[in-house]
Amino acid sequence: MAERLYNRLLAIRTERGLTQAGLAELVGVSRKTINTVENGIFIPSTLLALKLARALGRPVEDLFSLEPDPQEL
Amino acid sequence: MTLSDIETAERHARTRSLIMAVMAVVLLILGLLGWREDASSMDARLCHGMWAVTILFWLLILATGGWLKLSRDVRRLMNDEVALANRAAALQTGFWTAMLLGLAIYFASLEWTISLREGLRILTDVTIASALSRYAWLELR
Repeated sequence: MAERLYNRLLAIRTERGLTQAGLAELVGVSRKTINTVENGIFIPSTLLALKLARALGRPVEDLFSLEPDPQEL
Repeated sequence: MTLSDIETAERHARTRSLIMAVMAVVLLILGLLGWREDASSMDARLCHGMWAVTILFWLLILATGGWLKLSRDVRRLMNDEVALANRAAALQTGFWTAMLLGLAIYFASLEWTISLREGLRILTDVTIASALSRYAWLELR
């Protein structure tokens, strides 16, 4: 079964008033990494997902899910 | 880690990818058109040495990400999770290229005379070129 990881990283990042570079600096990765995760090109490791959640002050389940965000449907 | 580190890492990572793309084309041309000692006016030993150094250099870049003189923070940003995943994908491409090209050279040698040295050179050049170009493409997309 083809599964996809949905994420709300872009929405939560902009809600917090952070740029991709700003979030990259907080997490300690490149801006490209933030960009590819936001666009669903790259599925982050558990470690990176947890770092992103911590940097954004949200539980990791808020950022990533197996179902699409109902608001986007 | 600062914003300036991130910008520096991005600049160097982009340069690295562009150089890899150019090098892939150069290696393909040399590998396919023949960088043989009889095709060169250079001293044969110098020609072999330069080829070996070139291959070892790019193997080292593929293995480490290169740019070793930069600060640890910048190198860590240049070789973060996405870059490592891209490198793994590039090495996978290199593996499949080597296997398929090896088969092709094997069967080609039944029809045409291909020296061991020539075959290995084509195999090495094209394999590294494929890995470099895949990495560059993944990084620059």
